[in-house]
Amino acid sequence: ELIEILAISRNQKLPQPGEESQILELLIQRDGEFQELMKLALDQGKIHHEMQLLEKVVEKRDSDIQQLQKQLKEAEHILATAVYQAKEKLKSIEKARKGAISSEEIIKYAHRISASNAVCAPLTWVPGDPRRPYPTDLEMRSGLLGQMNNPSTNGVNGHLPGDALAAGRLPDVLAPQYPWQSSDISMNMLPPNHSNDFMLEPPGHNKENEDDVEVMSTDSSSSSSDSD
Amino acid sequence: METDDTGNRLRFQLELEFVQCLANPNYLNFLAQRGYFKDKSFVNYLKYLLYWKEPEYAKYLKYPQCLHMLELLQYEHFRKELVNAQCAKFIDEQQILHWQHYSRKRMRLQQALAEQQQQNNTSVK
Repeated sequence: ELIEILAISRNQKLPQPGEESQILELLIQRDGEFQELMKLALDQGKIHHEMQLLEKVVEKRDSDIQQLQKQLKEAEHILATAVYQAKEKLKSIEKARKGAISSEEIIKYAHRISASNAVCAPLTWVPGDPRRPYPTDLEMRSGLLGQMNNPSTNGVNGHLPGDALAAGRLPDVLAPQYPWQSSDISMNMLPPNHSNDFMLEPPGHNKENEDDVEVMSTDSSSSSSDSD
Repeated sequence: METDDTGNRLRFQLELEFVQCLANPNYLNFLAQRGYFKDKSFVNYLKYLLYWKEPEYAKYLKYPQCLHMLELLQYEHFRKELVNAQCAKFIDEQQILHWQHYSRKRMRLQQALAEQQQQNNTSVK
């Protein structure tokens, strides 16, 4: 349009040829620049469009990754639980194996402690029967411990040695047999051997629940524990 | 070496007997009244005797209930209480009652069975 107007004005206004050509040139320049800018805008539009597509793709990938992350977390949780439970099972297996005793031994022991009425009263027990769930006075005296010292007191139990019933019974020996005589016991079986005296206080002795305190030895001081 | 071995065997037998004597509450009362529980070396000895809890030693015990008494004896409060005769008497009574538990249970079962049989007989008639 401008060019047409200029052309018309050029026809009408002859005395300004120099300026017109300058303006025309400027116009042409501007038009060229404008065209270029248009192209640039088009390109930018395309690029923008592509960017939007890529953004969508990126979003999709992000959500995929998050989904995967969730699944991995779940899997880890399940595996961790499974591993933990397996470890617990192993622990209990180990524990059971450690405490394994042959059933025969258990039966023998159960028989031994029940047959002597040590843990279960005899069926005919009535008050007045001198038998007890613990070693009685008579039994204590007739054992090795009693033989070592002269008995000086009477009837700790309230059962006097002159008790007719008691006298009629054979003294019960406390140790059921003497397995050490058949050399069942190796040196490992004997009571823990120590080098110190009982007089020494172990560390933390005053605490009632202390379990891991070092134990002291017997030697000759153990004789102080014998009853008289 | 031999004397050492016999010495150890003797010690084993003595400690076996002694630890089982601890199942007797009257004996514990006796020891408490004579002040043995106040002697630190005696208390240490009681702690040492805890080795009887191990299965390889416990299998020699005829009166395994002594282990429970031994565990209780580790507590000073228990040792102090044992000076009272009533305390020892109470423990004695409870021990005897517990000892009779199974025979009483069996008697009850037998009684129940006898009653049931009687009922069956009367209903048949």
